[in-house]
Amino acid sequence: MSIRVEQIQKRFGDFTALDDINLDVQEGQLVGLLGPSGSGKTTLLRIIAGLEKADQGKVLFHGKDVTDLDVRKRKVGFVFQQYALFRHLTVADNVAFGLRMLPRKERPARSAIRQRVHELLDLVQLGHLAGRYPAQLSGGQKQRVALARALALKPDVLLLDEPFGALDAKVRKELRRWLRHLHEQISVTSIFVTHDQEEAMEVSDQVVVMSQGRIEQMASPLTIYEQPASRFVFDFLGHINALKGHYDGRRWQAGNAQLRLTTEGACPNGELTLYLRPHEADLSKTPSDSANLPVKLGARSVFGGTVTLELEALGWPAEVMEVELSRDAWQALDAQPGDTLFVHPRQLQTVTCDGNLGPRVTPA
Amino acid sequence: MPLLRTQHSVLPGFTLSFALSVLFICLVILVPLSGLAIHVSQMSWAQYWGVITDPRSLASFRVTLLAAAGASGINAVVGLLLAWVITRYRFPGRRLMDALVDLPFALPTAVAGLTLSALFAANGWLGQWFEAVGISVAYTPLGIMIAMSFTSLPFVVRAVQPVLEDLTPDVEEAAATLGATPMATFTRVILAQLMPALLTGTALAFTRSLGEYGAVIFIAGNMPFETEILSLLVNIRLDEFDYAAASALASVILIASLVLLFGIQLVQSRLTRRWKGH
Repeated sequence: MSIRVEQIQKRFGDFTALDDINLDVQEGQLVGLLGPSGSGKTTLLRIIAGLEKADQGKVLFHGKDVTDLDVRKRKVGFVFQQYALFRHLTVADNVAFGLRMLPRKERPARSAIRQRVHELLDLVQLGHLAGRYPAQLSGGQKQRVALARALALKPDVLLLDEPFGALDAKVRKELRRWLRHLHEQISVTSIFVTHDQEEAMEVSDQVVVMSQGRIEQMASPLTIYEQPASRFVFDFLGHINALKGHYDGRRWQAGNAQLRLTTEGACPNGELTLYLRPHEADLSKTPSDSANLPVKLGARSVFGGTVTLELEALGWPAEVMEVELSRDAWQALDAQPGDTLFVHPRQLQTVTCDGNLGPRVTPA
Repeated sequence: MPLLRTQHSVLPGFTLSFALSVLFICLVILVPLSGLAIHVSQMSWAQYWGVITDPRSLASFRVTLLAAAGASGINAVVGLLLAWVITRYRFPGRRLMDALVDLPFALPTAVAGLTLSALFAANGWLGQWFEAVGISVAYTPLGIMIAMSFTSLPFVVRAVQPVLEDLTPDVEEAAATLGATPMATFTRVILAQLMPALLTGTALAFTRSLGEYGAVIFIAGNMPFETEILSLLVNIRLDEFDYAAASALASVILIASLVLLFGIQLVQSRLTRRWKGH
């Protein structure tokens, strides 16, 4: 079932939680609402669920206005960050709860309920724990029970509020892959809230980036990363190095650092800020004609296939920079902490005078 | 499994604190109890049976038990309501209300009894209105019930309150998204989780009511066979220097209370052990 949100406004006292939100979610998609805390993503999710009322605007499910429909009648499955399981009921009874709450006429027979619970627990791979109580489960298991419980009534829409937020990193990763697979199996229209960029990029069909009660961009993960719509989005998706300097039409300069490039993005007074993503640069022991950015090698962190290096600008003003190299490139470089190296950006993002994103440039 | 299993703790002194606790329990609870047992053991079974099946004793058991049951029933409902209001709503005077709940513990029970009997007497502030619709409160079992529920109300409120505070709103929201009506959410989710605490509080209130003396005797009227409670009868036997009979009667309250307390402990730990994941 498609979800449409029209001109939603929500204030808490003086604080504007949501400001004119419009959103379209296609049937069967898995959409990630991504943003820092306080960006309004959870509030938006709760409004879609009917747990919170918007001050203005509409929510439509499959073209039907459900703005004033009670949460009980909206047929949404909701998964809470802290699981919200009924601790006095067994796993099986938790999952059966929704079915048992149906009016007598619609309620399936006992055996049918048992059957459905069985299916759902198999779906979340917890069939063997049906008789346990929530307190006897691990965090990941609890969240899977919560998901099975939310799916029991075959909801039109599945909403997940930071579903993996309370879990440790390894379980998180497992569970989000698993959620992706599960969604391919049951393909119910789903929206999940997260503040974890990696999670949103990995799991979603579409990512909605939110900031301060507004939607900054909604697009596929690839588009979000390659064509960020605003400085905020660029900034929010992973670490960036901001390089502030002056541009004279041919050369960007900061202290004794310089880059040769052509752009029209600079301010009238010549100021130009460049954003550099950690993985879009190489390092060498010598400067080149197009790039002369001397740095001192600081701490390094070797984890997986990449090596993350901390670099301190030598003789020019810049915060400590971060550059990621492949393991092979790092070994070929053969550098020690304290060595002087030179950064060679492969691509840079210009920031215009009014704070928006300008064109992307390559030193040459 | 070893009999004593002590976990290593940053605070030393298990042995000392355990010894002191045992000593205190012995001095204050077990020694007086054995005194009672010794008194009772001086009687033969026939004598014991004779004392406790005496018609006047039986009548006092009946009055005490019924009034205590009624009082705990009222307190289960009112106490739950009070705890609910205090934890769930924010209103001016909430802290005062919270503090007032403990008043029956702080007030000497005799003072409470005097005040209640003055209020509920046929010409008292409240009693006159009951009298107008034909209900006598003072000097009837109803009066006993009111006095008992006054003194035992805090047990229910204080037992339920912390559990209620621990319940998170997301559990109720979860019930709502699963289609539960507000009534079903209350009974199947909230009340179900409160049950062990509510049961404990009510049982404590009941045992307290069984033994209540000061608050009751002023409002009871103390008519043998009608409004004479067990603890008063014990007192009467003592006045007659019939220590054996007094002990026999007291032992009945004691046994009833102990059985009830152990029973509740058992039920509660069974219920909550699984919820807490052991």
